[in-house]
Amino acid sequence: MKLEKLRERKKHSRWLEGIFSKNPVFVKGLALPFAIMITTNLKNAVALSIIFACVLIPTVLLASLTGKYLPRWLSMMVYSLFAMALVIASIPLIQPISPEIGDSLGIYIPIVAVNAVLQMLCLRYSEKNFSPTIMALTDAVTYSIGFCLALCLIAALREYFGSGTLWGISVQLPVRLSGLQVAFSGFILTAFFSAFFRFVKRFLLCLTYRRLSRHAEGTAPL
Amino acid sequence: MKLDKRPAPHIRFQDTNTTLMLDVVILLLVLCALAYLFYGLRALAVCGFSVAVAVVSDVLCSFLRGKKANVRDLSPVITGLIIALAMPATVSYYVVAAAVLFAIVVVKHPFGGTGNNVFNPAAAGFSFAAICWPLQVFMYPMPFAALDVAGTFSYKLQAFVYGDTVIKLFQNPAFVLKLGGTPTNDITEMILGNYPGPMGATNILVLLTCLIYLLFRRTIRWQLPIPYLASCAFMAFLFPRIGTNGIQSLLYEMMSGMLLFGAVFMITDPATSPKRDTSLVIYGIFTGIITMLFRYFGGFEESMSFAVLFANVFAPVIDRYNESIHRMIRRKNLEVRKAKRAQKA
Repeated sequence: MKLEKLRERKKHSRWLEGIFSKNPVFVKGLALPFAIMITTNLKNAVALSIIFACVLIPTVLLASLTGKYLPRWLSMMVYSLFAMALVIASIPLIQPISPEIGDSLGIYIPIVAVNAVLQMLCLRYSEKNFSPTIMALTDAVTYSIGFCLALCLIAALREYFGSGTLWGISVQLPVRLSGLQVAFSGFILTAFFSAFFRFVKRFLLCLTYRRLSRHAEGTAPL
Repeated sequence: MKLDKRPAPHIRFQDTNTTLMLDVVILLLVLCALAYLFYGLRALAVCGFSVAVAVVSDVLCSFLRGKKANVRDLSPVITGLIIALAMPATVSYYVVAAAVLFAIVVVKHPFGGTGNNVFNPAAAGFSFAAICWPLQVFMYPMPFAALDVAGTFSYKLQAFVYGDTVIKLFQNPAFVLKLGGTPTNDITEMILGNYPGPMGATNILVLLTCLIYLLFRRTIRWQLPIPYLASCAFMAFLFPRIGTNGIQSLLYEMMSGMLLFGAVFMITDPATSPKRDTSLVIYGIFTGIITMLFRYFGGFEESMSFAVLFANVFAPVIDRYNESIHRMIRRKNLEVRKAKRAQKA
C-alpha cells in the first residue's frame, strides 16, 4: 500500500530525475573523465556543458524518432556520426568564452560524441517499445542540466580554492590549496559529492516513506 | 582432560592493538623530545597541534559514520605525530592542519576507519601538504635556531618570520643530491641529526635505535624494513647520483631526507602492508626500488611518502599472488610425498 503511493510520487519526479535523483555524474557515475580532468576552472566546465547539451539533445531526439526504423547494428554508428557532426558545429558556440578554450579542453571536446550518457540515452530510446519522444526530450534536457550542475559544482570549488580565482577573476583568500588543481582531487571531490548526493536521495526517500506511512496510520479505520 | 570453558579465542596474546600502537607512540614521543631539543617549544607546539587536530577530526568522523569513538584506538595520535615530525619546525600551523585533515577525513575514514584504510594516512597527508605547499614543507631551519611559537613562514623572504626576527631556511641534503651535487654535511653530524631537515627524521642514531626497539618488541616484523633498506642501499650503491663513489652515495642517500623515518614508521603500518612474511619481503624490496626511482626521476627531493602510497596499492595484489604461489608449492610437495609413499608400498 505504502509502496504504491511511493511509486506514484516517483512518477511525478520522473520528469526531473536527470537533475538530481539520477544525476549522470554523481549518482549514475557516467561521463567521469569530464568531471575529473577538465574541471580545473569554471570556464572549461561551462564550455563543455554547452557542447554536451548541444550534442546530447538532438542526438537523443534523432534516436527516439528513427530508432524503430534503423537496425540495431547500424543505429549506434549513425548516432555517433551525427553527434560528431554536432560537436564540430557547436565549437564556434564556445569561442566567445575565451579564445584558447578549444586548446585547453583538447581531446575532451571530440570524445563528447561517444560519451556514456549519450550512448545510454540513445540505446534506451531507440528501442521499439519504449516511452514516447517527449520523454526522450525531457531526459536529454534534464541530463544536460544535471551534467552542467555537476561539472560547475566541482569546477567552482577547484578553481576557488585551488587557484584563488573564479571565472578568471582573482578572489582574496588567506590559504590556497594548489593541490586541488591536480587530477587526483577531481577524483576525491567527485567521490565525496557522489556520496553526498546518494545520501540526500536516500534520506528524502526515507522521509517520504515515513510521512506516507504515518499518514496511512492516521487515516486507517480502527 | 581439562577443558577450557571460556569462549574463543583460546590462544590469547598479551599484545593488543593498544599496546602495539603505544610502542610506536612512545618512540614518536622520544623523537618529539629530540625535536624540542633542536628547535625549542615551536616543535612541541606543532606536534601538539597536529595530534589535537587528528584526534578531534577522528572523533567527528566516527560520529558521522554512526559509530562511537574508540578511546583505546591510538592511531590518530600516531598519524598526527608522524605528519608533524615529517615537517620542518618552521611550518605554518594551517599546513599541518590541512595535512592531518586530509589524512583522517579523506584517506582514512571513507575506507572504513582504523584497520581498513587502503593507503597510509600519514603518508597521504604529508604528500598532500608537499603538493600544495612545497616551499613550506621542504625548507628547513638550522638546529638550535631561536624559533618563536607564533611565527610563520614568509613566501616573500622564504624565511621564518616573527616580528623583526627573520630566520633563514635551508635545503635538506636530499635537495643537493637531487641537483646532482655532493652534500657538504659532515657524516658524524648527520648521524647525530645536527643538520637542517624534518623535525623527527634527522637523527639517524635514534631512528636506528627505534627500529631495533620495535623489532625486539615484535611490534613490526624484520621482513619489511630490512629488505626495504637493503634494496634502497643496493640501488644507491649501484647507481650513484654523485660522481665520487658508491659508498659515499649510499651513506648520503640513506641518511638524507626521511628515508629511515619512513622505513621505521610509515611502511610498517600493519593495515596497509601485506600479511605473509614472504609477501612482506617482496613488498619491502618493491617499495625500496620505487622510493629510489621516485628520488632519481621524481619532481620533489623528498618522495618517500609518494613511494609508500604507490606501493600500498600493490600490497593486496602481492598478498594474493603470493598466497597462490604458496598453495602451488604445498600441492607439489604433497604430490611428491604421495608418490614416495606409493613407491615404498
